Amino acid sequence: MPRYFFDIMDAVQSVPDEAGLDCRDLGEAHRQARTLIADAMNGPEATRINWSAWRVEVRDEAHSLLFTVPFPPR
Amino acid sequence: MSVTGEEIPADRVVETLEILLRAPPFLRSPKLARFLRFVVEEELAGRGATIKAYTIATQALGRGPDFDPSIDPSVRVEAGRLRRALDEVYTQHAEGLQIRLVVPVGGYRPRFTVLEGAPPPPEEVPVPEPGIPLPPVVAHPRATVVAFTPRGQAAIIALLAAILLVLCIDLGLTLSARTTGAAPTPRDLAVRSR
Repeated sequence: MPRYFFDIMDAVQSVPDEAGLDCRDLGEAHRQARTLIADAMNGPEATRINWSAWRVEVRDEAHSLLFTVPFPPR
Repeated sequence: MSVTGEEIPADRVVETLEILLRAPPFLRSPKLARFLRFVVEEELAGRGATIKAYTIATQALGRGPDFDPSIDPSVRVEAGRLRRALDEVYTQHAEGLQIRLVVPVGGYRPRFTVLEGAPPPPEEVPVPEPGIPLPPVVAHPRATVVAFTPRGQAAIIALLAAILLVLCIDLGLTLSARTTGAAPTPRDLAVRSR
C-alpha cells in the first residue's frame, strides 16, 4: 500500500507528519485526513483556535503535495 | 506491581508498550514513540489524571514552558496521529500483542483491554488438584508441557507429609498397645512353664 503523509498547518504554524499512514488509495487518504481533523477539533481542552485557518496537506512518499483538506469552521 | 483499571498487570502493559514501540509507525516517528511511552508510563505510575496537553508537550514533545494548548493544536494533532498509528500496528503488525492499547478521542489517557484469544494473566491459571488424573498429553505441532505449578507441588508435598504422619502415629499406637497390654512379660512366661 502506498504511504501518505498528512501535514497539518495554518499560515504560521505547522505540525509535520513524521510517520505517515499506509492507505489503499486517494479515497482512503481523504477519509484519514477528515478523521485527523475530527480528532484535532475534539480535544479535551477548550481552545481559542481559529480552525478555519487550518488545513491538512496530503503528500505522497516523495512528499509531493497531492491535495488539501481544509478544517471546517466551528 | 501496579495494576491497570481492568486488572491487567502493569508488566504486561509494559511488555505491550515495548512491542508497540518496535513497530514500523513508531520507528518512523520518534515523536509519536515519546508521546506513547509518556502517556502509558504516566498512567501506570498512577498519574493518569494529570496527563494534559501541556504535560505531554513539555515532557514528551520537547516544547518549552510557554506552550499554550489553547492556541496551539500540536498535541491534539499528534494524538490523532497516535491513534492512527496504533490502529495500523494492530491491523498490520499485531504479532505478539495480547493487550489492546487505545487513546480514546477527547482525551489523552490510555486504556488497556485484553485482546480476544490472549491467555489470561498467570495468577488466573487454575492449579491442578492433587489426586485428579491429568488429561493425557495429545500430540500437537507445538509441544505443550503439562506440569504442576509451584502451588500444586506444595499441595502434593503437604498431602504426602500428612499421610506419612498418619502412618507413623498408627504404627506407634500399635507398638505401644502390644508392649503394654497383650504382650506377656518374662515373669508370666516363667509361671506358665511351672
